[in-house]
Amino acid sequence: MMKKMVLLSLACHIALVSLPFHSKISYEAFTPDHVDVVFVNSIPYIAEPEQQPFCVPKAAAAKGKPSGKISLVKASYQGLNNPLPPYPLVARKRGHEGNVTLTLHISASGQCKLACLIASSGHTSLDEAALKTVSSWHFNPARRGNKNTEDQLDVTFKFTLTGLEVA
Amino acid sequence: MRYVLHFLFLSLLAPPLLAQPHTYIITASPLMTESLTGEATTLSADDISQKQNFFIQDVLRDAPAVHISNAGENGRQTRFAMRGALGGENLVLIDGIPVNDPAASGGSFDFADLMGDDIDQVQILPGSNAVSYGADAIGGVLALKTSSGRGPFKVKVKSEGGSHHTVKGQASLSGEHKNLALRTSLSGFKSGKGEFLNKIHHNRQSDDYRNGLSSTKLSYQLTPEREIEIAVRESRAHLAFDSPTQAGDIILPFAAENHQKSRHHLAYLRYLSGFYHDQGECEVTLSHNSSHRDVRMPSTLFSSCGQSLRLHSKFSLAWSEDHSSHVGAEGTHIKAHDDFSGNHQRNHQGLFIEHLYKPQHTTEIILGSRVDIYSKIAPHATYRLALNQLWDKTRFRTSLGTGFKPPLLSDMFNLSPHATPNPALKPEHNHSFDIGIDHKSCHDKIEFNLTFFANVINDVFLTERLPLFTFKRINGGVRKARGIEGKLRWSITPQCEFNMNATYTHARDYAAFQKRRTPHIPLWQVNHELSYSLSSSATFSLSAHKVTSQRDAVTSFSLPGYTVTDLRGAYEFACGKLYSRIENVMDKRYEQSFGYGNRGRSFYLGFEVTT
Repeated sequence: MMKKMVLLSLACHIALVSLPFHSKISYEAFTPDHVDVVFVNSIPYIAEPEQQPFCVPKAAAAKGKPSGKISLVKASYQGLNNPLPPYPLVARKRGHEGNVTLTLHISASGQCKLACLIASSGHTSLDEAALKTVSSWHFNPARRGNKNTEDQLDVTFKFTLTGLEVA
Repeated sequence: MRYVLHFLFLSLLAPPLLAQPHTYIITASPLMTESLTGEATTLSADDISQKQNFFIQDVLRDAPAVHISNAGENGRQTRFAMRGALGGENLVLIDGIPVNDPAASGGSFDFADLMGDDIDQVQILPGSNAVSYGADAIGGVLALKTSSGRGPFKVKVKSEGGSHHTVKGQASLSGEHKNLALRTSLSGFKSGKGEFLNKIHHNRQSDDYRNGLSSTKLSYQLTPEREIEIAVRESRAHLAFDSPTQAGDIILPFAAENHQKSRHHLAYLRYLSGFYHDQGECEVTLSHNSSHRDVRMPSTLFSSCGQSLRLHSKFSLAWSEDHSSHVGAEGTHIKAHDDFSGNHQRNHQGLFIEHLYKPQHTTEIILGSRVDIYSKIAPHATYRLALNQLWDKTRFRTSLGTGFKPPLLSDMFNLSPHATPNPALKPEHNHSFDIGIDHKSCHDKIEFNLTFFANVINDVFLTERLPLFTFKRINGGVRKARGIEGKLRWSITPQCEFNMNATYTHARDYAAFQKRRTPHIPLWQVNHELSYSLSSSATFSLSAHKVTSQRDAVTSFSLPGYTVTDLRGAYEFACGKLYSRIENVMDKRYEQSFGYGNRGRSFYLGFEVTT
């Protein structure tokens, strides 16, 4: 009984993890609307590139040429030591906190072409600090097969004040 | 096998979790320039509002480490003590500006007229903080912050009334618009009309008190890293008070037509700037504060005025993750005048440096030194060494430091015919040590702090009585204080919280081969508070304040201990709040100064409307 449950769990797990790779999403089918469904490379926490669980399908990589359906490897900013935005002094003094969500348009060369403010913190200084910082970030450009391509991705900055630091 | 199954089922959830967009968390403490303190108790605006007290001295009464007492009635002179240091041996700051009155007896700040309407935060910093804050911080520092404009603009109107003909009103406007933050408020208070009987000594008292406060703070953001702030705070109070009158062998206050007018003024201009990629901060403040007091009695007319003009600058820089430094310099011009001792003025320059080193992520070593140069006395150096060690939810801390209090000019160069000047008067100086532990447990539901302290004050100022009713101020005493301060917060349920603090202080004055209890410092002071939220909008709290016996400074009689119980309730609705309290529920009669009784049980009701 126990073995069956383990096998069943394992099968479900493998099926769910591998589902995006075996779905019908292809190079031709790619549109921005699909990005939220694919989540090819949206890693929730800092991970080294080699640890990222998604990559070009092995079959395509083995042949060394596109197989007709080329998966997208999205742009990423992990592992590049990009600096975090500063917490502006006046915002700290006035107790401003909030979340800033940006959509970044990444060029094929790995630069941020455009940063759009999707959700404001409600404080201009925090929004500006986030926008200014990401404009200087470097990215791993998105890839389709062996070719770099443009892409867009979301990033959220949560500005939080701790209590008065008692040293 | 069970763990394997758990792992597998949990791992099923992994793909959807991985699909979340990345969130970076940027945390910071409010200001680096405020970070190098030791043990601290912070009372926020909510804490102050929840207590519903009219005056800050009543808020401080329930706080740990500080003992505060007044002569029975609103507006009467207030005494306070921390770690064995009395009144002027402690430093009081409003928005970082020292407000100790150089013309008052002992150079003390009088909390009697300080209303809490525009106070946003009270920090109690006992111990050796002289390096950061300067002279007069022998026992500790009471740092108050006034409110600033926050969020969208709103108008708040408050009105309260209750026993003893007490009426109070307040109106304020506060908010932020683009780069501008503004808060302005007006308050008025009136109480005490009519005689009452002090049931302990059967003398009739009849204090009548009025107070008005106006406060404005304006800050303008030049850039996200630069701000300029202007604030003006002015309060005026009038007290009709009783005369001390001979009644048999003792002197008691009786109703009489005496008047005291006080005026406190504080204004400052502050420039705040960040530099070096957010790793440095610079703060420059130009301030002026003054305290005037006019006393009119049938036989006497007396006035005093203390003023100080101060330029203060402070730079904080985080060199790396392990090292950060704070450097500051200040210059002050102090003037004091009273009708008995005449006009006096002097200059002061101070320079300090503090360095924070973190050899490990959980270990902090703070080393600081300061030099103060006052005209007419020798330069004085102070130091502080502190060590903090953090283990998960437990923090161990210890500090060792020195402090000093320069003699008042009126004590050194008194021009009164009843006084003999003493230009050789030296500063009081102290060595203090404390060691403590802060701990959180039960998922942060229980939090307690325990601190042992020792404070030795040398060259304590004494008054030597000379023939022909004259006196002279001399150095000669030593005061030794040691004790324990403890705090406990227990969140019993999400709706119910219990808070307790206890302060044990054993303070003795050694002078002229005599040992006496230091006046107005009780051996024990214990506060309990149980608060309960009936719903998200209704809260109740029951608090008890217990003080053991203490010695009266004037008569040297022992004042008996007492316990006062208060009951508070508040109901919040959409655009305001209705609140009420019963103070001294058990109608306990007690004296904090010999002969000056309190009025007993009192009831207050108020409402607040915010638009």
